[in-house]
Amino acid sequence: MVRDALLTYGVPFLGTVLLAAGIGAAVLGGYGAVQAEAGLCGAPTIGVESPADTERLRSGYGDGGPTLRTLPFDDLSPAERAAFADGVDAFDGEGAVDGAFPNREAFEDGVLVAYEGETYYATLRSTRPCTSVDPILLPLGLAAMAFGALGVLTPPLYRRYAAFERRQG
Amino acid sequence: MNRVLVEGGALAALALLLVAFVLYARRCGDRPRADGGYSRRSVFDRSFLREQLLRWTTTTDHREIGILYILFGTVAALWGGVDGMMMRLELLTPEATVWSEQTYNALFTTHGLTMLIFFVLPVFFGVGNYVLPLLLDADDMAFPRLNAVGFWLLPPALLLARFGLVAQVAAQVLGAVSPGQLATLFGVMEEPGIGWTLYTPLSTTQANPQIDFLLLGLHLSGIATVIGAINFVVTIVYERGEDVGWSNLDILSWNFLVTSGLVLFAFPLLGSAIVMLLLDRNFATTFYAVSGGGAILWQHLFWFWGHPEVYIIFLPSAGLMSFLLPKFVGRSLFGFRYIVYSTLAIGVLSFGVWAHHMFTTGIDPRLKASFMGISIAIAVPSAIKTFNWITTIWDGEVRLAAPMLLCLGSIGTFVVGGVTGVFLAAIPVDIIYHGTYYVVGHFHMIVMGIIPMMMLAASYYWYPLITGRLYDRRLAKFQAGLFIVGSVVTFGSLLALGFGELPRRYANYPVEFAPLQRVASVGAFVIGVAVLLWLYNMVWSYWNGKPVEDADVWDLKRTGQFTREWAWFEDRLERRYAVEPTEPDPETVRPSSTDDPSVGSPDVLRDPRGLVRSVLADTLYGALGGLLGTLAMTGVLFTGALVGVFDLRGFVELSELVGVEGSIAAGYAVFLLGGMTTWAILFRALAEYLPGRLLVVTGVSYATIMSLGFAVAFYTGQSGLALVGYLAFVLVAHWLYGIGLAGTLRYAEYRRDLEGSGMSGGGSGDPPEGDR
Repeated sequence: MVRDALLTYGVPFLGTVLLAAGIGAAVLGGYGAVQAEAGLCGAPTIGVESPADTERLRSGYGDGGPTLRTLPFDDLSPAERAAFADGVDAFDGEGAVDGAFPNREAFEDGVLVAYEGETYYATLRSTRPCTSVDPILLPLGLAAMAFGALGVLTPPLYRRYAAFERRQG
Repeated sequence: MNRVLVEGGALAALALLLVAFVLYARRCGDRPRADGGYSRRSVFDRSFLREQLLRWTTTTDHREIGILYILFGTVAALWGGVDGMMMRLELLTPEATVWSEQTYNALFTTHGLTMLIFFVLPVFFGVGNYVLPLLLDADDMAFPRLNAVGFWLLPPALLLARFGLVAQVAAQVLGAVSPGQLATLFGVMEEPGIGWTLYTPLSTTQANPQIDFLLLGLHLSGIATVIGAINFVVTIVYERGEDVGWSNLDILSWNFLVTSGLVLFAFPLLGSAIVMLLLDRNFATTFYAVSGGGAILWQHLFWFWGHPEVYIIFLPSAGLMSFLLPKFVGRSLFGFRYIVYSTLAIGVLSFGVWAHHMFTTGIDPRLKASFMGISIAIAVPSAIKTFNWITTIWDGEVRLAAPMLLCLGSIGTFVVGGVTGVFLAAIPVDIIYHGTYYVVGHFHMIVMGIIPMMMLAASYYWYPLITGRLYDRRLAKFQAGLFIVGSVVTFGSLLALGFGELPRRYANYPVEFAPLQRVASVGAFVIGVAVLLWLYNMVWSYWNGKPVEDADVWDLKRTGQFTREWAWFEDRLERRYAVEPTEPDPETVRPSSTDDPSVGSPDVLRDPRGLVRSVLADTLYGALGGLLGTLAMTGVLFTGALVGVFDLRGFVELSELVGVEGSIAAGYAVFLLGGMTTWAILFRALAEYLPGRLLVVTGVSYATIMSLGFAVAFYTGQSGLALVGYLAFVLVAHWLYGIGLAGTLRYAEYRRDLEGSGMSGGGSGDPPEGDR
């Protein structure tokens, strides 16, 4: 009775918990291993609003708005300039700073950039940090998933084995 | 990570696996049928495919439309569920390293909308479509063709609302193959990241055209819902059979009637609000602009739909609970009339609570106070339902089948969800917790507690009726348990995160919240596995389950609860397969509703003396057992204190918690009192349902469960080996409490048995007449 309950419900339950934990560990471990090599992290993204939206945002505050720094486009580093230009052209206003980012603090606060006679409001949208996980997380996660799946499949496997033993006499 | 690639790939893989598994299951089940019928035609037979396509796209049969609704809702649930799993992946790490912040925003937006609008309502409408006409003794729904129209509006609505993912997949494929304007056009249409509540001004100022498609999709789904609701109302009012009157209308139909009424008042308003938002976005109107109606207007209009919507999705699940629970305890629903009244009360009150979502906005404090009052008041009808469910279980013959397990789990999660809701209804508490994970935990306890659990329960309960086959019952019980545990762990963790006031809707969070977030994520993956197991069971059993040989699958005739839909099923089995109707053994028959205390229902009002006597005796013996158990426990705990693994400061905190002076003695007195009253009485109530054939073993089971709470409450910062020692001492102390409590109660029962058999304690009673 107890053994039946243990095999039907207990072991598969522990297996499911292992499987669930293994999914998280394996995904993070696997992604952490390839993320940097694939260039999927490390370059922060900035968002650039159109001049019209910039004016709308500023006028919305009336006289009591925040005091924003204004940076001329030429004062930005090459990587910042490239990201800003990408942001102006992109439909989602986003560009990645792939290189030196000396004005990072200003972008974190939100900054006005003077570019070709227009003023653009720009902010840091994402720091895009790389996942830092222990390299052993991937094998551990995969092992947990395998053991977990075995746990979940225990009842049918056990029933089949019992039937096999009965057939053996 | 590329969200489009991952989500598109995951959904495609899921679809392929499902199709392959369906084909495999079908092939395995392709043997001579139980009724001696012919084997099936191949799915690759073109004429067969054409026939099936024509049949399912043009059907007006309420049962087939019901199945279509359920299938559609399941697809939406899997889609929204994948969104949820992706969110939980992101939250495994404190920094947004898996997805970008914008992707995370889109995930929680689409997860909410997909689950609420395209999963829950369609599934309930499917259940209603299938069983309501059978319960009402109606031939079909009132407007069969309109019923089909109502369903067929939903797939395009879902496609419009979730077109962002489709467009992004197209953009990435086109971008890789031939970059050009078309790829750019699709690329512009990103999944919106504005939250499912679509608050203005964010929703009016974001240029993303997918927001417009989303609004159109929501509008279309609203039209579909209203059509369905009209059909339910007319069917229940006009299509009932001759012997189905208002006085004997089943509880599920009552709930669907009220739900449909709410839909009729709420959804048209959502449609109007969405039209105004579309006009603001595209035609420069100022309904929600500062110069016009103001951004808060959207919140008022949205929540005037949004909060009734919460009850629109809750009431069908409450109806299912009220309908299914009695079947598994062999008793009729306690306080049927009051459950109907509570349903009607919730229906009315649900339109008077919308501004409790807006306590942190600048609306008039007097208005806020009135909404606070009604929000707290709405807990009363909800509590009436809960207590009536519990009272229905009381003294019943509980059968722990999968639907019953889900009912019990639902009551638990609903109580937690409801009580946290009462706290949030109080303005001062809401000011602190608004916009935190506490809110997310609260509403998920309802929307992932009672709602899907009741869907699962209904799917198990009516599966034989729909398919003519039985499913794997052991797997169903395991799946039910898994789902309940997963839900409690996940959303309990979110409540705990909320106590720490962690704001919701942020991809990045402080590192100290990581452990709880990880627990929540593992719990969510457990839920995911549970859902897949349910899907496996449903699909596999459809072709390979044991054919039904007796229409009374759940042994309902024995207690007179063999309702109309099962009678219809019995009739169909007889006509189609010559399966003879069965009758239960007259010896085992007992009515589900009776005044005779000897057959179940407690006759409280007519003969309170016996009840009072037994309650008093139980209380006294419980108190004595609790005293002995607590004293034994004390010995272990104080030994732990001497060893240095247990800190007596825990008692000080306990005394402060109940509002008496902060001292060890006062705390210990409270502890002793609790051990003699609360925990002892709770054990008396729960003992029957806890593992262990012997009462003492049951006591140990109970004490083990209790020890978890104690370990958390009395934890005073132990770490390392001290923590291990603390946990061990707590566990052993509780085992002693359980043995002391249960041992005393067992002895009391033994004494009572002796007295009942006419013997005194020492066995020195007079010998019977014949022995003299």
